[in-house]
Amino acid sequence: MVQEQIESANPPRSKIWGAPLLSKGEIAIKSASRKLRVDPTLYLMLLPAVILVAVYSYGPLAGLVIAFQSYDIAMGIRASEWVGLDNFRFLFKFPTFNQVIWNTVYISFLKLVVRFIVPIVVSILLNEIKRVKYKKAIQTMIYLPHFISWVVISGILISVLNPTDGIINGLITFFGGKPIYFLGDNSVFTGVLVVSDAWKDFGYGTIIYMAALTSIDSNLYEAASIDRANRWQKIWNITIPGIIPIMILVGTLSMGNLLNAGFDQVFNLYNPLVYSTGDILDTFLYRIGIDNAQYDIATAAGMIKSAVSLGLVSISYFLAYKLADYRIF
Amino acid sequence: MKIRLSTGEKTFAIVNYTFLTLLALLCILPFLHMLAISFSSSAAATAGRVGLWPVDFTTASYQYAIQKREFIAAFLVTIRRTLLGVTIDLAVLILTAYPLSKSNRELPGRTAISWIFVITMFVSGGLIPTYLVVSGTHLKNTIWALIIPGVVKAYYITILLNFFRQIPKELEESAVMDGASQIRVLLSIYLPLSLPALATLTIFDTVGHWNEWFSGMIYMSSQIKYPLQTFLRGIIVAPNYDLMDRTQMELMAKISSKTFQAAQIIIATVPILAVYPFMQKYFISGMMLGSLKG
Amino acid sequence: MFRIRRIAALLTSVLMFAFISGCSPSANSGGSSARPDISQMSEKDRWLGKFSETVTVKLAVPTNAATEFPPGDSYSENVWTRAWLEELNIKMESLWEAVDAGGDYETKLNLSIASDDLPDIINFKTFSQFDKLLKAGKLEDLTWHYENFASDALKTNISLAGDAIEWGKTSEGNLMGIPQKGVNYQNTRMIFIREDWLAESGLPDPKTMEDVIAIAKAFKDKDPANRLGLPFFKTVIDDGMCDIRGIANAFGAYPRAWFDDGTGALQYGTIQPEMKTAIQVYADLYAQGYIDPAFASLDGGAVGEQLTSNKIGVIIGNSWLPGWPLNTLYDTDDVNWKVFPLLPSSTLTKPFKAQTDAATGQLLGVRKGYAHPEALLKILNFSIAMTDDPETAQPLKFHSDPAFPDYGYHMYNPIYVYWSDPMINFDTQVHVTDAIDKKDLSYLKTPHDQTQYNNTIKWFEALEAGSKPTGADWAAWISWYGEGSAFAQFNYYFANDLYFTSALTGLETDTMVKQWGNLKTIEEQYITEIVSGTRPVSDFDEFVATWKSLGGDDIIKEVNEWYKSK
Repeated sequence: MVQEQIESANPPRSKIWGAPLLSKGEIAIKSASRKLRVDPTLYLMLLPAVILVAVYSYGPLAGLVIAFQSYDIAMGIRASEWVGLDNFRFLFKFPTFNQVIWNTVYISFLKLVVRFIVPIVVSILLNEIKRVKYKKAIQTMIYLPHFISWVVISGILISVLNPTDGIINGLITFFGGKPIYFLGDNSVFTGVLVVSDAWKDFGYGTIIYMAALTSIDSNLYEAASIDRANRWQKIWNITIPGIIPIMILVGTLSMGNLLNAGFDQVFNLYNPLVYSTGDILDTFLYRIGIDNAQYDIATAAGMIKSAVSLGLVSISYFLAYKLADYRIF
Repeated sequence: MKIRLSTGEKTFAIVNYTFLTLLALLCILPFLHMLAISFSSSAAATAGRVGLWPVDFTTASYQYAIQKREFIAAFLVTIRRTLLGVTIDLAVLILTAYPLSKSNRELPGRTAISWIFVITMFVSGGLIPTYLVVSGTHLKNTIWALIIPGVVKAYYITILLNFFRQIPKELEESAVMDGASQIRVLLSIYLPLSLPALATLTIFDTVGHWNEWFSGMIYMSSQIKYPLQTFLRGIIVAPNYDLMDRTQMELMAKISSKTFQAAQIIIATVPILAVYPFMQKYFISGMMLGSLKG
Repeated sequence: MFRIRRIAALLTSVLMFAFISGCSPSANSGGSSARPDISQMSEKDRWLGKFSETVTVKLAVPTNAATEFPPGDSYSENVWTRAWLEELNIKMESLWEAVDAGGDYETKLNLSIASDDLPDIINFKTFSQFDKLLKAGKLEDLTWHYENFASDALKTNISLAGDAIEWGKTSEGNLMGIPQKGVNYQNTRMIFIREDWLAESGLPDPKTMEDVIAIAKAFKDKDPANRLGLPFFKTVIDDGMCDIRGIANAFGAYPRAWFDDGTGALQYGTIQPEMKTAIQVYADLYAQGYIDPAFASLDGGAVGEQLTSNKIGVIIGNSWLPGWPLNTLYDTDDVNWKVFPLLPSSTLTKPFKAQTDAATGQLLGVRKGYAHPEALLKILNFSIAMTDDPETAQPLKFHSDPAFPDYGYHMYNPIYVYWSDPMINFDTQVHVTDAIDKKDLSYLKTPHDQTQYNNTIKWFEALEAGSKPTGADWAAWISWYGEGSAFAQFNYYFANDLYFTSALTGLETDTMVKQWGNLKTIEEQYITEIVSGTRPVSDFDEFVATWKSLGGDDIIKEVNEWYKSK
């Protein structure tokens, strides 16, 4: 089934597929024939990782069969009853399922966009700061929220956003507005999720761009200065092109998370009043599944997520390849 | 050479500094709040009277946390798993990303192998099958259960291979001409030139190991073997009041009090916060590439 | 293509091996259970006698972060394990430990079941885990062992919870699990009212639920800017404090409980018309501003904060409230609370009942193939003998540190059965009060009596010494001493036959396993939306219809089939 996924994601190209794997004999023959300068050491280097994923990532995939069973933990896979697509039907039959999928896609799409843009903008701004100590201090401070769990943050947010005595609503009423129940109002709840998510992780997200920025050749900036390029021109012509490969990579891989809208965050912040906009696939599964440990249904849902993720990542991958002739990975 | 700043540039600098400073302040507020709670009296914290400064200053929560045997044990387990885990992860990561950064011509099948790794990011067999494999390979109840199953992280591989690709090919080609082996090329050209990327991935991986709690809960058989975050979770998850009689409630009130939780979160977070500033020195290496190329 | 297939085949074969070798189902079905020769044993030998050779018992231990051990002790080495070894020759081995909260223990037990690596004695947290192992033939039949090894005291305790022993029986009458505890009579709501605010308002003590609501309103009206009316939060139906249950009971509704409607059929509480009345009460309070507009996003901790910052004067909740968070308020502001039993509405036309938690169906079972199933019964007999029986109780004898506070000894029990007698706290309340009033320690019968007396007397000692008692002293005093104490309310419910218990005891029907989580969500969603005015109260009928159509009707049918078969 692994193979099927590769094939569906990857239109057959003989030059990609004609590759030997792990077979020392074949590698030896190939390098002996000297058609290509293939160094067998390269394959040997891959060996540890291939073995590890084979055992610990692909090994458990055999367990995906329980998605098609009425799986009973005490009976095991062999003795559990086969039910075909019943577990999938069970999920699709829920009256709220479509709403949940829509919420998930909507929330995570907004998050993807914001999470993609904010770290890039902040990295570029940070890159413009010349005082090293100041820059380091800012970097360290903005990466702090990543380390505070959603349980804690939600506690803080609930009190800060409280409609009667929260600070934010205090400001709103001070300027003559009407207090808003941010966490209980369907029209603003999604916004709260997106903004608080961006706030928590943008600093962490900048790390990778800071690394990418350091590998831009500083000669380019000097040459541009001599050519009297202004700051915007330098950002536009040097900085951004320098981090484009990482931008594309991060963007592509994040497409795989379109069905992960952030369980911990939503679970700690939502409530029945905002189910209609805030209930996402993972919280929905939690409520119908975990209580009763329905591993079969959870696996079925996991397969749906995997299929969607792989599909989206493959599309982005091949778009990047077709348009920019660049293989992201 | 000093270039005089135009008015526009000056305005930009002022706005930029102000904006980033405000952003940074916004980010440390909750942390300051936690810090204040951890040094406040239990009563003040329960009543929600603590803002950004401790109320009725006390270090009682820290003293209590530090003398708890399980807490110390969990701390040590986490340090061990992080050191071992990050070392092994990085070694395998470098070995894997390097060949995959080559072209399909240099390494036939490269793209297919990449996909084999990338797929693992999005497909998983689920809790029970993974558990069975981990116990089937006899890792259960050893520190390796926290390390081995997660060594290969496809996300990091894709990042590193992209950084490797940006290293000028000519450097490698001339080295190979001189008879350098692939290992040699990797060690003496690729690694030194990828320090910012490696530092980034070290941060990610250290943070990942430090914060991970689920495998500790699943694979470890006694509390004394729990890593820190697994232990902390046991304290922080909502206590099940129904199961408790009154004396137990009293204890629970003391232990799960906000101040004690905050103190433990602070103790558990500060070491990992230090990793980033420590790694930052590897981020200022923009010159190197230019000089090498020059 | 060919190469890829070979690679795939190679990979899958390696991996399938790893996978399947882990989960091969064991074939230990059949065979009668181990029965020791009891012909030569006296009753005492069977109940509490030592095994002639050391018997090892592997346990999965549910842990609690609140448990503090004396130095050097742990779950696998403590006052109980030492006592088991010395007195019964049973050596405890920990198979694994997991926190008994947040679902950790259940998850690990599921993994144990799935990998067929079971503890010898299994502490089931859910009926469905028990049921699965039972159906898979992986549990010992305990019928004979219970008959011969359960002490009279154990049998009596189990019978105090009604027909509890039936829960662990198959339809053929074989006993496969021993109930871990019966109905939890302690989880009935009661009313706490701030003494100072009540005096300030000039209102008399409440007689009806309407009086209670009027008091809550009066408190808020006195200082509308700083006070809240009636606390209410997120988990609207079931949370032990500030949930809808207390007021629902006052109007004759029993949310999340099943009852016989008099025709021999079971009905579900949340969908009855009485529930609509209770929701209406909350909706009115919300509309008039007596419920926090943000209640839907608050949790228990947030309400605790409101309480300790002097915003709340009436709270309907469980007996543990004095232990948290009311004790803090005593510490900081000397606030005392008056305790009242749950009061009926003046409009209630049927007999008033206070609802307690249904039995959870938690059972103790023995792994099929374990050589000494009677070890479970001996351990249970021993627990009761050590804690409940004044003749034999001596829990501190095996303590590694005699100076260590004795409050926790029952919490160290690795199989986690502590209140073996469901009534123990109720008797203790009377004993402690008598001992203090009559200054006669002979009223204290059990170690638990002694412990609570020690806690409570501190209040009086402090007052006598002219110093201020601590919040903990206050909590002990308000819990145990006198008619107005929290535990006295339970005795009041008992004496007046006011208890209501759900007729469904831990059973999970097939549809329940699949749909219950979702139905609970629907209940919470409708109640929250109606109370907050997002929906009109008339939508209660829509709620009932939705609930029924999404599996509720099937569940009612299944539950009634089970009820008739009893």
